Amino acid sequence: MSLLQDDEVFAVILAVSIVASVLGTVLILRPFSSEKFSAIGLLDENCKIGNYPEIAVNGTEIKLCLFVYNHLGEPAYYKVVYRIGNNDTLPSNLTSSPAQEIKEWRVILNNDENTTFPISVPVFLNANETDKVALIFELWAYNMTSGNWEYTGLWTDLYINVTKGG
Amino acid sequence: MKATTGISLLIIFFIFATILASNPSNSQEEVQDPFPEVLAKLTYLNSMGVNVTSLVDDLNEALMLYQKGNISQAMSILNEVNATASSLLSRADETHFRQLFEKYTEAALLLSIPLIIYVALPRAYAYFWYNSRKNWKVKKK
Repeated sequence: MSLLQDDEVFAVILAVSIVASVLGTVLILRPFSSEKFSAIGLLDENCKIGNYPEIAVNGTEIKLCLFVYNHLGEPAYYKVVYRIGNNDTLPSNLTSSPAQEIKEWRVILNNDENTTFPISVPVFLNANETDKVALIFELWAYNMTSGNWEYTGLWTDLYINVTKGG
Repeated sequence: MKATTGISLLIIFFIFATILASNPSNSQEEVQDPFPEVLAKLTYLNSMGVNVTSLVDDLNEALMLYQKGNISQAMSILNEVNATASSLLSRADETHFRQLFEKYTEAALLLSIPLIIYVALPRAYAYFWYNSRKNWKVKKK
């Protein structure tokens, strides 16, 4: 009757069961509390990091890939807005770029889901721009409550030299 | 008098026309976009614990077709998703409460394990200890 005679053994078994049951209960009852965020990434035409184009002929299109990730805890409706800008028209974490919108792509993602898709974007020089331009990609999310598109503060860019061509 | 009324009406018309012209595309675009309405239903269902993964994937497929200009096929998938979401909405509360019940029952069972061990383990141990020795015979030394 070692278990009944030895209180310490019984106390240890009881302590282990209490810890395990509390831990299990916490894991069951805890809400979705991980940090909510979205992500955008720019990839090369093979949908890999690196090997980005550095030069493009004015008026042509270049191929790239976009990566979008949803970790908001619910399905989300995103759009990626493409603009051509320069150092003065880059977006910030709070405001989108003032440059004109040229193209956009929309996608609906489940929570914890990502997508990578190929894109083809026109590259051209505006009247007041030098031969180096920034290809700007901003991530916008649709706010279900307000019914409006909202800038997420996430963006990525690629500087590229634009030649006049022959 | 008539001239004054006419001028007033003209001014009112001009003001309304200016307001409408200054606020044109944004709201119009959102009204034309059929996806947020369906997605709002799916988001609500998701918050109620209904698994909407396949519906969201279908909605995204419809969106891809819509962007490629294949409107009729996109609208067909969209309407299907919308119909399924609407039918699930009526059962969302039931699903939500069932999941809550399952969750709290599971938690209660887990929390009761130490109590069960405290009450039942010594008794069970004693029972099996005596049971395994019930045929033992005592010999005189």
